[in-house]
Amino acid sequence: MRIILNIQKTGLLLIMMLIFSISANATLPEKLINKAEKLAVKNFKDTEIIKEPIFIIPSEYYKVKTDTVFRLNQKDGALMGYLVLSSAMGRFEEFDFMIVYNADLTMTDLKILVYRSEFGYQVSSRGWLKQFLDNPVETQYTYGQNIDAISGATLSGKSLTANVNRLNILINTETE
Amino acid sequence: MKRILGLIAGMVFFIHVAVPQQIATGTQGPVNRANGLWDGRQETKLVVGGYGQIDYNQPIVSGEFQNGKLDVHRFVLLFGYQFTDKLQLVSEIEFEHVKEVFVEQAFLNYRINTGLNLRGGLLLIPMGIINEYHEPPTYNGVERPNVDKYIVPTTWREIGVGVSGTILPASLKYQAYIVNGFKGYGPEAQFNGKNGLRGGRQKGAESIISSPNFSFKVDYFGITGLNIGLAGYFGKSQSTLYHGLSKDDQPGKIRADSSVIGSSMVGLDLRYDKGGLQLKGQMIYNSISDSPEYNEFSGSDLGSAMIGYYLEAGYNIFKHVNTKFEKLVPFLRYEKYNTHHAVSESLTMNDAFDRSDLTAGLGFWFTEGAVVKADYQWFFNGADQHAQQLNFGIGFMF
Repeated sequence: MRIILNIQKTGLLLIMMLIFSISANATLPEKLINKAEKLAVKNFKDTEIIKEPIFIIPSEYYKVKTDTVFRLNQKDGALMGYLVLSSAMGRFEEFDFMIVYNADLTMTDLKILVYRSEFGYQVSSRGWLKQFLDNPVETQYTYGQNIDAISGATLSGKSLTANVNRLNILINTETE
Repeated sequence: MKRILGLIAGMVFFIHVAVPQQIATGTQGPVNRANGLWDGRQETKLVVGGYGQIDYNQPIVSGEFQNGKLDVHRFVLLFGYQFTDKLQLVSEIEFEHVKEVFVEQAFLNYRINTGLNLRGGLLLIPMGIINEYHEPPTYNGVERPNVDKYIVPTTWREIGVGVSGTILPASLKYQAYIVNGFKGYGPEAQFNGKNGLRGGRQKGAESIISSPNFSFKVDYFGITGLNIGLAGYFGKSQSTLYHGLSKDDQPGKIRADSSVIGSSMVGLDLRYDKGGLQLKGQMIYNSISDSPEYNEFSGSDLGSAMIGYYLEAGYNIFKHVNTKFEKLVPFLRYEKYNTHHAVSESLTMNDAFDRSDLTAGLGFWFTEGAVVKADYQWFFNGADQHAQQLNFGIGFMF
């Protein structure tokens, strides 16, 4: 009897996990992924890119639930790079951004996709974001030192810098 | 039963490999405070923040004793509530000098997308830098610039509706609002030569409207480190004398019209950060129409044009120092503001309203949100009067 109860409990847990899996993933806006994909593909001229969702093992270090990573492949399956969608916290509100790494794991693109807050929007300035590009994945940044401070967007700028550092480690260690 | 479990486990596995993964292991630290962006923001709907400043102002007069002033100048609590991913409430409750309570902002914002928000409520008028960015750790000096007191009547907020948005590919932010205007008259004149339009702010407290005002600002941030803002504010002031007036009452209408002025204010501001260098500047010009009629009717001495500008340079010394603290910024600010930049023929220009301030000081930021400041100010005016003041302050935001 007890065994049956346990089985029922386990079943319930699995159903809950299933529901959670669906709801957690279903709400990642399709529009946002499509937009990011279009922007990402521009990094690989004259190459047809097929994006493939990849599985990343959650570890203690990466306590963020909003990372979404795609492997970017050529038609024959050859790796071209990675597309990462994530979000960072400004003073009170999150903003969404995308990163593209090429096959050598050099960051080739970083763009803000959605900025919600009234303040700190200056982080989306392309000139400022350029500081992160063309550097190897091992690079770690310090806001105000090797990344220029940005007027009016200190908190968003710091938060994005911290998240780029985090994602660099994630991509470097979790991809083959 | 096992078969069913196997099936469920299989489905879970299938979904996990078939769709992109989000790493779901909870939240950590302030960076992820409002986590849950893509799953409906269920975790933190209420956001609490705040800012404040505690000042010590010591006037310096040679050969005289002067009392210093110690004041909890402002203490502001911010409450934000995220009803849905799109709909948000933003509010700030301010205690000024401990005993006066104000609502500094209170509006609902509906975000259609990054480029378009609809909002309504008690809104900050976007003009210059300080009126919108007024948290003490965001500016140098214990006190706000005086241009942002006499020319832009900070904190300037009125009730209205409008749109705002950030156009990311163009590096542009815009805001456009329709609000109630200044109350220029009721029960007596609220504008004057010294303080300009400051006395006419209605602050959302039983505000009256007799004609709507229009406010806009556009910010461009496409050049690294540079933010340029262009703002405009246009409209007539409000008057209680229209209330209850018969539409055929011509003398009454002329009288009411005399209690109203028109304001056309334009402002240009810039902020530039490069390395440790921080530059700030702004210029505000306000052209006032119908001031002769207003002054004659009310006995006031309002000018017909006001101007104010300032330039400020600071340098973060900690840029070159390996320290756990955030910033150490010496700065210098020069301001000029004249509420009698132009006057009508019937009014004598008061040179004492042509003022310039020089502020030299130092700020030490423990962290981004906590600062101690010290500065010395020299005040001059066109009537050859001058004054000096020493200030110390503690500022914070969270």
